[in-house]
Amino acid sequence: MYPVLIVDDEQAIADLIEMTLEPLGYACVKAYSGETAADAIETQRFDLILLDVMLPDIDGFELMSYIEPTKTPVIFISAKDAVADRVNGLKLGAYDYIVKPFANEELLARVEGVMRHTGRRSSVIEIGDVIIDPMARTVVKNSKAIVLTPREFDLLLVLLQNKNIALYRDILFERVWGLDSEVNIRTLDIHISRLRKKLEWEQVIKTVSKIGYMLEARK
Amino acid sequence: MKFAFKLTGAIMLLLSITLSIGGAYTISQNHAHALSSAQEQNALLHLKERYFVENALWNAEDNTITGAFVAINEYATQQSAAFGTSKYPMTIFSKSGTTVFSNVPSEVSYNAQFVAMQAENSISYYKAEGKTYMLMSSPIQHVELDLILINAYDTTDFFTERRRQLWQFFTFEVVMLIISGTAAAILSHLLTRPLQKLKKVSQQIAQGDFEVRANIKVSDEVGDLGNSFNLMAIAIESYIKELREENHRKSRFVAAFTHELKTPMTSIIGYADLMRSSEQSQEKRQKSLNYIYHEAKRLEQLSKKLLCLLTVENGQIDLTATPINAVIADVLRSSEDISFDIQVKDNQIVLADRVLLADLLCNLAKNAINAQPIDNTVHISCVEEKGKYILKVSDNGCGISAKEIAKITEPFYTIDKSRSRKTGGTGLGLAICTQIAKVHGSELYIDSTHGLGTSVWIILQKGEGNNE
Repeated sequence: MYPVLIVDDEQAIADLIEMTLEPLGYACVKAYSGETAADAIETQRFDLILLDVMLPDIDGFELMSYIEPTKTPVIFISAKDAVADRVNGLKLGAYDYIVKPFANEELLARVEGVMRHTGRRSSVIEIGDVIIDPMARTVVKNSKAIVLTPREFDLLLVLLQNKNIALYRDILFERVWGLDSEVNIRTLDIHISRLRKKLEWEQVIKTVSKIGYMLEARK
Repeated sequence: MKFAFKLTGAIMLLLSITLSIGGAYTISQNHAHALSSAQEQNALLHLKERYFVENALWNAEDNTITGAFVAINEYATQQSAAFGTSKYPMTIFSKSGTTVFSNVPSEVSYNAQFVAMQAENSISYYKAEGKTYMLMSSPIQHVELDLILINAYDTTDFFTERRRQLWQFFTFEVVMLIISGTAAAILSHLLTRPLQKLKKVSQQIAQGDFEVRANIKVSDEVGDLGNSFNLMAIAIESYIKELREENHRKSRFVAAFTHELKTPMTSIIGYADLMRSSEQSQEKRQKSLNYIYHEAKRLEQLSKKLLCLLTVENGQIDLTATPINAVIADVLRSSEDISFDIQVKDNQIVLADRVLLADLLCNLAKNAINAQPIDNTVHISCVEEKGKYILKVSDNGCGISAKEIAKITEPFYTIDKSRSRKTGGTGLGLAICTQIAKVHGSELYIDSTHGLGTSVWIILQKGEGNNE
């Protein structure tokens, strides 16, 4: 497990990304210019590089020629939304391309996706005796397959993505049911209790008073 | 080609009409004259014949029809012997219509002759079997019997001749038309060829090739058209170029603007999202809120400057006589933390907008001081030159390299982004200054040497009341 390199000349954004990834176990290294990034790449090994294409000294796209020999996967971050730029980035060998402004959870999902695809992280998540495969959308407990409804699985994924973080109830609802949902928020509680029952996770999915819920999995 | 056809067709039509009318008229006039001469001649002959007949009748044995018949027969025989048969055929009628004598060819009908007899002293024409006869009649005088003499003169030749002439002219006309038609066609084609060229060039321009020109070498009205056309094409080309550049400029502006907008928005949205999702430590919360505040302030600055830029670009600005001193005083008031060296005379009055001019100077002063001049001073001077005033702001700071100078007045462009960010710069300052200069009728002039310093100036008109 190697850290994630964040390359962006805007300190605010670099810090933001760090604050998003770190709580989930991704160690981060920040570089504010193409030069410092190049130095870091030469001296350290990384599992993933998040690269802003509009750097003051070197074009982010140019930096790719530096990174390529290391075979480190790269996600481009850019305010350039045009299809031409995206295509260019992907052609240059970037694994993915995310456009500013981005939702934190989207960044997280893409980071995790790349990590799993490139084998930097295992493609399955293990919590105790439960193995969850996000790609196959399966849950196995003690080698026995557990059947979850699609909504229950989505909820499980969001909880896993925010492992050990107490999520506000309405945020959790929003993340699973979407911003424009007309469903009553009480369905969240119902789904939580169903998950707890099916996975026997009464002690794992915790209710945090005055806030919401948290999936607790201390290693 | 249609115009050439029209031209050729018109010429040929005109030619054929005039030729036809002229020819037909001439020929028929000729014919009429000939016929009229013949008529005169025949009238004399007819008169002579009548005298001879009258003579013959006088010498007749008696005054009866029979006697007349004998006398006339004798006369006719004499005539035949002398001149050949039927040279001047005649018929003698009695008033009642009886034919006393006739050696008129059989094709001339009795009816025709009868009608001729009835209309005394008449001339008429009779056509039969391809021949035309002129019939003349007059009453035989000085005899007791009522007899009328009719002569039938063969005038076929006149009509044959007329027909021949008409045919000959027609053939001539056809040949003429063919020749002149060909000539007219060639001429029309040559005349309209430049028009074809023009058509091709205008088609090319319509397709988007604005650089082609019409190559018409004649020096007549068509040549004039070609020249005017080329002038028009030149005007269009430069106008299109201008429009395209303007379009590009606008696209670049929008692209830069959205970019400037997206970055602070990403921070604001990101940090706010972090905080609303889950509990954060006090330290993290403070950091997040800090960033939100500062990025929002950045947006505020951006919108203020942008509004300023748009107002100057689109607004109606009135220039009035403004003393430079007043403007300088405003600048000093707004930039209290900058030390200035002012080289301005008391009585210098310029045509300007006081607020905008002060804004311009403040902007330039800020840039100057940020260049970290060695003497930590911003120099402002106002000097008269060739009837106008040169208002200049200079510093001996870090200067600007030649390749950057062209770009720095572009909206949102900054040479050192991180330094600009720290000092609250938006990249719009010089774009605004350029607009302000334009409003005052001047360009924004920049001269700089990397490492030595920078001078920026504008040229202002003198205002009224100036007494320098």
